Amino acid sequence: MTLGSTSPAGIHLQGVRKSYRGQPVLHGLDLTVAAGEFVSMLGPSGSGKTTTLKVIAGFEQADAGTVTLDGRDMDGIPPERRNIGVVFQNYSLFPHMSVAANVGFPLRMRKVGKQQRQEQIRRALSLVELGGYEDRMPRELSGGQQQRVAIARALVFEPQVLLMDEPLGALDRRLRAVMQLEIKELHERLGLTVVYVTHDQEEALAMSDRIVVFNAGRIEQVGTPREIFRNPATVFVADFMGDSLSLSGNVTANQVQLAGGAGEFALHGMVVPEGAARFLWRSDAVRVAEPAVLDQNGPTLRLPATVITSAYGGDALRLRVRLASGDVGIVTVRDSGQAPPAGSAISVLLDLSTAVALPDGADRYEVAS
Amino acid sequence: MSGRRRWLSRLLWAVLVAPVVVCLLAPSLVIIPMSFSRSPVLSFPPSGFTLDWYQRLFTSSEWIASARNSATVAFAATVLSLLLGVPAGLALGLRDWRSKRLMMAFVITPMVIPTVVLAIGMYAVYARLGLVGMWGLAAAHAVIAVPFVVITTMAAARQLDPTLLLAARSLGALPWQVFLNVTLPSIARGVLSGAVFAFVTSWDEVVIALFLTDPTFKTLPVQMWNQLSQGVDPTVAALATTLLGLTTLLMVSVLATSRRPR
Ligand SMILES: Nc1ncnc2c1ncn2[C@@H]1O[C@H](COP(=O)(O)OP(=O)(O)OP(=O)(O)O)[C@@H](O)[C@H]1O
Ligand SMILES: [Mg+2]
Repeated sequence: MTLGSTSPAGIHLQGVRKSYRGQPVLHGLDLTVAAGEFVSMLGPSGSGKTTTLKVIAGFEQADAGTVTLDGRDMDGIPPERRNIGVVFQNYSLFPHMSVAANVGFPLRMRKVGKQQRQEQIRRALSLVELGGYEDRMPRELSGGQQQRVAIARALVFEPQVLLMDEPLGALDRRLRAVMQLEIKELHERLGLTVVYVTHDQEEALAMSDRIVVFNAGRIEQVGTPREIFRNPATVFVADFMGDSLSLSGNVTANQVQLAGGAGEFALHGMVVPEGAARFLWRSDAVRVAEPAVLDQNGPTLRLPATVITSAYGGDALRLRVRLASGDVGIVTVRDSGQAPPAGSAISVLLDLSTAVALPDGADRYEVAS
Repeated sequence: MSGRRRWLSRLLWAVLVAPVVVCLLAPSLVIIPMSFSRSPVLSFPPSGFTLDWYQRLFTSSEWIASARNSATVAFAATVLSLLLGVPAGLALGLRDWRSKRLMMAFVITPMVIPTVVLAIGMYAVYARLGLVGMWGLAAAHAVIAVPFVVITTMAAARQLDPTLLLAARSLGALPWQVFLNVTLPSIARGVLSGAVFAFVTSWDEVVIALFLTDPTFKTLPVQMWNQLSQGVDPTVAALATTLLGLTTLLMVSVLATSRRPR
C-alpha cells in the first residue's frame, strides 16, 4: 500500500448558497472538479473562497444546494466521515503533540495498530522530506517545516481529496516558490484531487489545471490558467489577473467610438457584439512614446496620457497613467535609468491585435474557445 | 542593555519593591517565631524555643478532624466548581453569542457580592432545604469558587486556535474525541490553576463556614476562629505556620509549572 492509492474523487457543487447572519456570502455556486484535478480558487479577500472550502469539508452546512463527493451526496455527513484532508494557512498543528503524534493522529482516530501507524508516519514524513523530525514539537520547527508536517498529516490517511486554504500565505516569497513546486509534484505523484485557495494570481497560474475566479460570492470565470489570463471573461477577471490598461467604447458595425471622444478605430477582424464594450491590454503589451498627434487609422492606436506615478521593479518600470478619457491604467516600460516624473505627458501605443474585448459592466461574453 | 545598566536597574527595582513586600508579609511572618515560643499565650516577641505547640496540634483529635473536614469540603467544592465552571469557561472563551456579556457578569457576581451578604442568604435558604454540614458548605464554597474556574478556563480557551478543532474533525475525530485530545490538553493548565484557586478559596473560607457549620462539623478556619475567641493558645500559631508553609509550597509549584514555555 502506498500513500494516495485510494482513487481520487470528483467534487460537484450545485446551487450552493450560504449566508452568515442574513448576509449572503455564496450566491448559488455551481462547480465541478474532476477526479485527480488541481483546481485553484482565486479571488479577493472576502469573496467566499474559504467559505466554499468549509462547505466542501463539512465544517459549514450550505443553506441550499448540494455537494457531492465521488457521486455521493454529502448532506448531513460530518467532516470526520468525509475523508477529506485539509491544510490551513496557519498550519494548525496540535501544539501539545510531537510531529509523529500529529501525523499519527488521523490514524489513531481510525484505530490503526501501533506498528502500522509508525510505518505510515515514517512514509508520510519522508514524502515531505521530514524524516528524522518525529520527536520534535511543532514550536521547534520553522514555518515551512510546520506546513510540511500539516501536509503529511492531511495525506497520511489517504484522503480522496485535499483542500488547501492559502497554505503558503505565511511563508516568504522564496520558500513559497519552492513549496509550490513541491505541492505540485506531490499532486502529480499521488494523483489526488486538490482544491487550492489562494489570492496570489501567479501562484494560481503556476500550479493549477484550472482556475476558478471568485468575486463577491459568485464564480466569475472557470478556465485553464491560459484561458483565464489571455481570455478573461469579465473586466473583473482581467483586472485581477494582472496589470492592464483598458478603455470604454461603443461598438457600431465595424467601428469603435472611444468614450469621451478619445478617438475611433476600425475593428480589424475582431468580432465584438454591438453596444458598450471595454478594450483591454496587458501592461506589457502597451508601448510608450513621446507625445505626438492622434493617429486614428492604422492598426495601432496612439493616445495621449499623463503619468501619475511610477514604480521601479527591476528590469521594468510600472507607470500608472491617466488617459484623456479619464481611464486609469498601468503600463510597463523597460527601465532606461530614469523614470518619467509625475505629471509628464507621454503617448501610449495600443496594438489592436493584442486587445481583449470585454463587455462593459457586469454582464459577460461567452468565452469563445 | 549593558550588564552594568541591567544590574543598576535591578538594584533600583529591589529598593522600591522590598519595603512593599516587607509591609505586606511581615505581619503574617510574625506568626512563625510566635509558634515556637515557650509562652503559654500568644505573645510577641517570643521567648525561648519549644515544639510543644506543634506536638499538641498534630495529636489533637479535634484539630485533625477539622482539617479532614476542611479538606473534604474543599475537595468537593473544587469538583463542583470544575463541573460548573469548565463548560461555562469554554462556552465564554470559544464561542461568540448574544448575551455573552450578561452571562459573564452573572458568573462573576459571587466575586463582587460581600461574603457576609452571601453567607446570610445561603444560611436562610440552605437551612430551609436541610443543606447543612459538608454538602451545604461544599455547595456554598463552589458558588464563590466558580468565578475563578470560569475565568482561568476562559483565558485558556481564548488562546486555543479554533481551526485546531476543525482540523481535528477533518482528520477523523468525533466531537468527543476532539474534546479529549485537543480541547482539554490545550486548556489543562488553565483548568488546573482554576482548581487550585477553587481549593484554596474553600480551604480558608471562614465567614460562610461560620454560618453553615455546627459543633459536630467544623472546618479548620472555624476551629481557629473558636480557639482565638476563647483564649489565645499558641497552637493556633503552629497551625498558621504549617498552613503558610503548605500554601507557599502549592503556589510555588503552580508558578513553576505555568512558567514553562508553551
Ligand atoms: N463565521 C462567520 N461569521 C460571519 N461572517 C463570516 C464568517 N465567516 C466568513 N464570513 C464572511 O463571509 C465572507 C466570505 O468570507 P471568506 O472567509 O469565505 O472569504 P475568503 O474569500 O476566504 O477571503 P480571504 O482571502 O480574506 O481569506 C466575508 O465577508 C466574511 O466576512
Ligand atoms: Mg480565506
